[in-house]
Amino acid sequence: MLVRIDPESDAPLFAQIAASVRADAAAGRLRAGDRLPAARDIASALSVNVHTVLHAYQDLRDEGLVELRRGRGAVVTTQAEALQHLHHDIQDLVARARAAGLSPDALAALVKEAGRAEPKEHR
Amino acid sequence: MTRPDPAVRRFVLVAIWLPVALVAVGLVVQLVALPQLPSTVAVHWNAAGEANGFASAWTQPLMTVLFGLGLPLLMALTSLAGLRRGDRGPTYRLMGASAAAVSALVTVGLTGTLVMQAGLDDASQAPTVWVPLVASLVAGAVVGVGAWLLQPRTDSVDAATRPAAPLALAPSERVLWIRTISMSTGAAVAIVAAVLLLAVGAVVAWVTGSEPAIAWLLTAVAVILLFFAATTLAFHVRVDDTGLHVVSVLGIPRFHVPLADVASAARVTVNPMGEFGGWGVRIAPSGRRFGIVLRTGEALEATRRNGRRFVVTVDDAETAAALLEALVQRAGARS
Repeated sequence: MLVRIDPESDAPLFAQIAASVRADAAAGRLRAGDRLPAARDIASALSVNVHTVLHAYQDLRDEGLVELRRGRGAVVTTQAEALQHLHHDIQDLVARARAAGLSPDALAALVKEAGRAEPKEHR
Repeated sequence: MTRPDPAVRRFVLVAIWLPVALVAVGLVVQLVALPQLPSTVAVHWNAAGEANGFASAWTQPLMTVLFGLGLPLLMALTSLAGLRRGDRGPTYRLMGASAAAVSALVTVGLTGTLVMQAGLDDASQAPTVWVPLVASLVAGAVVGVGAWLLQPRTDSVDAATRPAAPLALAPSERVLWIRTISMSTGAAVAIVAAVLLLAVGAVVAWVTGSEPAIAWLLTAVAVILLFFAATTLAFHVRVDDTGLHVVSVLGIPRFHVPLADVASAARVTVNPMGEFGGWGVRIAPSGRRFGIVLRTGEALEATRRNGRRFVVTVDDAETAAALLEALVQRAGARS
């Protein structure tokens, strides 16, 4: 899997790590049943605090993308398949937004707004 | 059904049918001689050519089958899958020739040393070993060279490596790519079979009371092989700011190519048999390519500044190569 963080970005590091794992699942680099590397291995390779990585893993667990099991670490759930199904649509949407002169951030804000407007959504 | 091409047919001929025929002839000769032999025969000679190790006469045909046929078949079967898949290269030709040579060496040696003891009352009168020893070496060399010449010349498919398109990296960005690889089932089975064969050989050596040095040697080789099998079954592969790391899941062995030492990175396709002569931690016959080759297919290849290449078979090698290439270029731009 590919994890990328930029300390100069506005987004907190744990959110960047979580976003990387999500992108890995969407790109098919992580599949259901795969085990994420130990948090301390990622922390030392990226020179960040181990709690930052654990924070990211916990957020992903709350989201349902990974399960945290004692002794087994973080294991990817079947939600990875759902993300992979959306991958092409997302790429397509980003390309179209970019062609229309819309930044990914603006697009993300629109997607968030659309999600909030949808009454059946509980989050 | 189409006939397989000459490279495969000739390989099967020299690495499977030839050993079968050689061992069959050797067995017939040994079984015919068996009634005229003392019940205990000499099986080992010292450096002066005098008999100093003894075993039951019936163990000789058993050893002939075990080593004269078992070893060549093991060599043949590990190569055949790759050949059938379309891999080619001098390693396969050498493997076929070696299988035939080993079979001839073992069969002629064991049959010769047995037959020369026919008619003796006691194995301690066994003549010196020089004639069968030289005969087996000559037979091995002649059969090996013949088997080499009988197979067609083929070139290995060593695709030109094109560096990966680098991943877009921000100057302050920190990136890590990590993945675990494990040995394919077929390769693992072949390794386990080799370990078992040696273990059986060691047990036979102990039970039949042959030279303790031989028994210890076989046991030691079996244990070492078992250790290597255990440590090469799975690895963690990591690309980060410090370069490329490949570490066994057991902690050792571990390999590291520092980022400063990497000239370029690429995704390649590896044929273990054709390019490395097998699986595991290998050096290619050219000597300029080092590989951790656990299966056929996708691999990450890092070319060092001195031109030597480091290869590790791993899925998603495309991403790993793109990242390594980007890290190398970024480090180059900084300095």
